[in-house]
Amino acid sequence: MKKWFVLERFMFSREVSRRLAYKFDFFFSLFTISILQIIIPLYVLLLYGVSDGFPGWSVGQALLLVSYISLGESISAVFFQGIIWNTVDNVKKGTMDTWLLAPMHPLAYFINRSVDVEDTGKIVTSAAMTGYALFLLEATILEIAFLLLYLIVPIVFFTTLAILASATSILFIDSYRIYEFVNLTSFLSKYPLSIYPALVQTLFFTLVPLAAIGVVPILLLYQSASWILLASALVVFVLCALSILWWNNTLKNYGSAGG
Amino acid sequence: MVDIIRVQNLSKSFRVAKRKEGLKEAIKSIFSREYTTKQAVKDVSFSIKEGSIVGLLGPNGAGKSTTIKMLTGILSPSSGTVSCAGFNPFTQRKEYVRHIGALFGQKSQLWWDLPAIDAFTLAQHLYDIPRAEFLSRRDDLIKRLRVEEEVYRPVRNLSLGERMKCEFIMALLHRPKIVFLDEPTIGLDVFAKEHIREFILYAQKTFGTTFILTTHDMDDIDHLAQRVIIINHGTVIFDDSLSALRGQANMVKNVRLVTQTRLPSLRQKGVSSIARISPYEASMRLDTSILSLQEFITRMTQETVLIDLEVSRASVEEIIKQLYLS
Ligand SMILES: Nc1ncnc2c1ncn2[C@@H]1O[C@H](COP(=O)(O)OP(=O)(O)OP(=O)(O)O)[C@@H](O)[C@H]1O
Ligand SMILES: [Mg+2]
Repeated sequence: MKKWFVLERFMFSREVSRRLAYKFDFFFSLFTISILQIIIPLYVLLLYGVSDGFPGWSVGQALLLVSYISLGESISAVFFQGIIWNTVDNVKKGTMDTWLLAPMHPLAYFINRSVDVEDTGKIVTSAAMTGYALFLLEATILEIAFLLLYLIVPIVFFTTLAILASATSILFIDSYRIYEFVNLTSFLSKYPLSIYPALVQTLFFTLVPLAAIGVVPILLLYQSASWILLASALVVFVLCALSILWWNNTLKNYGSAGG
Repeated sequence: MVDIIRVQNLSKSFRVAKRKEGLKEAIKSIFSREYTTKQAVKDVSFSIKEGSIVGLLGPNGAGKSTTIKMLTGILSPSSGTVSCAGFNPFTQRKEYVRHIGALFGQKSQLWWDLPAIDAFTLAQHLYDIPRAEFLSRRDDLIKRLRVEEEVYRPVRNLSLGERMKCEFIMALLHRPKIVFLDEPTIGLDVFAKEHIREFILYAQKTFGTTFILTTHDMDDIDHLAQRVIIINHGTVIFDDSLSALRGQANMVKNVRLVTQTRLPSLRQKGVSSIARISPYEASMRLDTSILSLQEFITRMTQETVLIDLEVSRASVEEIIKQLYLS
């Protein structure tokens, strides 16, 4: 565990200096990526400006929902989701071989090697938007502390998707498009659940715990829902554990490339 | 000395999707895909003593790299057992790889955009090498391989040979017990090859490192390997010392004859690769372990008059080619 953090820190600083070799490109993409991140929160504000917005949800709550999920997603993007591209790329070229030579759990090492510094801009923007939403809601210190703690759930959720995508690409080599599935999930999760039919809502609390990554903490804090909903967060952890097991298993089928 | 590597009945087959040519076939393959199995390694067994240098030879596609990948824990064997330094490479990979180093000539372990020296620091963290120790090892390797200046340049700007030396350092920083080298000298000039060979011998002598290397360069084998394992079509066809291989080479002669009358029939046991240059001249290979030179000449002079006779020793390379073909 300690080694993972040491490597993560090392990789982060290496990655920054690597990207600084092409300064303009780095700053430009940092900038565009962080700007793009404001679009959905802006859209929410606009929606509430011209209509009643989502039934039962105040503008602060809706804004918190989208920014909070984005925050979890961005943290996952910087530290974990890079494994998607990296496995697709390395499996294709057969260079994954050299990564398997590291004396660590391979998934942990893959994550180390996949730091994506470009997306740090996203973290800043979504943290700022989350802060603004909390200001609108007049959140207490305790509420903020709970939300910070709960952030582990969306992070784990998006990381789970990345692990699944990575495992698929080890098995089927060229399966880039799986990433679109990741995007779709995050998109679906950013709507207050009330817009979905009842059956879908149930599904999102259970098997496909989309509600757990954003809707649940807001319902708990601001709509005094039952704490039983926290169980859907547990589903996220179970799915994550299963995806790690599956990932490990795919290595048996890894065929490398000739050479 | 003890066996550090033991391989028994090792096999590996790959499932390969059959792809036929053309768009129509590509669309068909979405619905039903045919698979074939490619058996890359078949029932290979050998063991290797600690501290030795072993050359793994074989023609393209023989299964050398696949064998190395199984020995390094990258691929899981289809059947058979491997034990390296007391570990099962695939199932105990995490602990095992600490003790090995590997260099795949075609696959870089360095960062393209950064100087090699940065990648070396990754190795320090990865293998928990104490800083002072790391620095002294690193600088020693850099000096021995003569890349003092190159390690500070982005890898992208290095020549193939310079990069390969850096890859070599990367694979050896943690002082592994066993080092696997898959075509380490591919594309290198004579000087770079020499530096790398010198270093391999130095590491073997100083640290007792075991080296297993695949190569198509007979010079590598000549300078380094004490033992040679030849693989063809996934099976071991020769496994003995280099001197045995040389001995075999000594036993085989290249013979060229010029005769006064038309050449008699040359077809007989021990004579192979017959090439008639003219009705009076031919070259051939003579295996003196089957037919002695004395006996061969006697037979020839009984049937014709020799004008010229040239006998030379076959090279190790020729012997290996012969082995590949048989
Ligand atoms: N990932 C793979 N999937 C399918 N077949 C493979 C794969 N890797 C290797 N092969 C096949 O297995 C056989 C052995 O390949 P391998 O790479 O071990 O050969 P090699 O002895 O290293 O040859 P070379 O000298 O050309 O590097 C080849 O016929 C190759 O086509
Ligand atoms: Mg090979």
